[in-house]
Amino acid sequence: MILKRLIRKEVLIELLISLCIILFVYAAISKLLDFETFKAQIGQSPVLSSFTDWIVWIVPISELVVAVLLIVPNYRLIGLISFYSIMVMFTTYIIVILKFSDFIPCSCGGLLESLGWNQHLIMNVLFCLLALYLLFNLKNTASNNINNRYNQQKIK
Amino acid sequence: MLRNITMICSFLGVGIVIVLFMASENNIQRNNAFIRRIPPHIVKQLKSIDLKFNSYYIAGMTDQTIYLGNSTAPLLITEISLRTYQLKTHQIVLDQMNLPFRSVRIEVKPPYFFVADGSIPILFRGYITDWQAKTLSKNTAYFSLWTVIDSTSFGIRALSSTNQEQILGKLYKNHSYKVKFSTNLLKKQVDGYFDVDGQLLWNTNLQRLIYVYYYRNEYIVFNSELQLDFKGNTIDTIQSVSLKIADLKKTNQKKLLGNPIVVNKMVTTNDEFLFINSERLGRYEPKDLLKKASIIDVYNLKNANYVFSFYAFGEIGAKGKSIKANNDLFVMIIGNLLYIYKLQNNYFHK
Repeated sequence: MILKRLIRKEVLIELLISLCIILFVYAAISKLLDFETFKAQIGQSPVLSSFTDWIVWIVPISELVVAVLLIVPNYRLIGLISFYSIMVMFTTYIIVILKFSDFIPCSCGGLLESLGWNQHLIMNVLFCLLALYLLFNLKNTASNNINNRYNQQKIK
Repeated sequence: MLRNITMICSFLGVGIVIVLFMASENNIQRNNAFIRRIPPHIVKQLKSIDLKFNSYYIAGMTDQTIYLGNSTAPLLITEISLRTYQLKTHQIVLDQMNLPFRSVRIEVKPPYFFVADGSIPILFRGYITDWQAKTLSKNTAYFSLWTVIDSTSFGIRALSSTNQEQILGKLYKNHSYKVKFSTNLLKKQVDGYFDVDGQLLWNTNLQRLIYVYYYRNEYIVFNSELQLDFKGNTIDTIQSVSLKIADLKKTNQKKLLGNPIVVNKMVTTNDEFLFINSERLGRYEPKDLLKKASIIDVYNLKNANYVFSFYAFGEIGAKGKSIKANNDLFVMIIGNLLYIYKLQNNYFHK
């Protein structure tokens, strides 16, 4: 019974992590595919315009790196912490733009284009909460325990 | 442990973005880095009108009407109603028609209209009800630019008789018409003639004259007594003119070599704002932008700050002729097309 619940929870966590991976890979690829537009949008952003040259590379690359970290089981914890940190930064960015900036620039490309800033904000907050949930449940999951035991046996 | 790491990450994430935001704001406002702020949906195109000829310029504008002059038919005035967008033309009649006119321009300021040619030099005034103009001043002083301050005084630009450099001045009535010049308003960088070229405007709201240089990122604001209020800088980075001038001693001529970079192209002013059309792309602006839009940078003349820019979209094939703003309308002539835009943003109206 307990095992069954553990397995179910494990599957849920796997699914949720896959969701995070898909989000970041999608976001990174859509930025890189239309790089010129992305660069122009960042250039007009009230928060980032002065740092455009770095930001345009840092953002998609770190998204991809985090996605890879999330895929590799051993780095999953680091991946989740990074994912959470980046989502916090994105969310702060949106709040800063909505509340403190003189004007609101056009939304980003890809999937996010169809979202308004407020929906975007809600989505980001949800992903932050999701990352927190994953962070605090990852340790106790069956997958981790089984993996650990499996690894330990292999070492022995 | 994990809880602590998460806390640290949260604070770091929020902190980094806020620091970025503050640093970025500084950069745009203080260093005037040449990056435009483009708030979305600031203008909406209301109408485009085909004028059939590319020689029209905007001579004046009220809440109901746009007045157009025509450089190839100098005494033709075209009225466009802002309600019906119907065109109506009038022929101006001057009390002295047989003069060697070379650079006639009309300015309409209801109830008056003014016609002047600084190469004669002569200045006429009439009422827009009958479009008949009488001579106000003749042979007072030659001038190369003029703008109406009120019904009897005008801002002018002329050549100094001592050193052949351009100077700003005023033509005004004191029993008869007189002129007054100030030699220290325009600042020479190369030759004092080509390099100081620009455009002269009068802002009714602030009661100030404005001179916007063509070839440097600068404009000056001064009062009708020719006292300088301040020098303003545009977001562009060209501070000194890149002109090459040939001084032809034999024929006593000066010639401009090559095409200098025009920093400020078309200009107009309204309320406390100065509108400058620039064809220079800022960072991160796509290269093909200039084919489909004119870039208009907006400055606040009360504090000399850059406010924001907007793109006036249209079929920009030909060269821009003139721009004009009045209340919430912005009008631009490009080639033979006249565009009317509505300034939508509440930045313009507080």
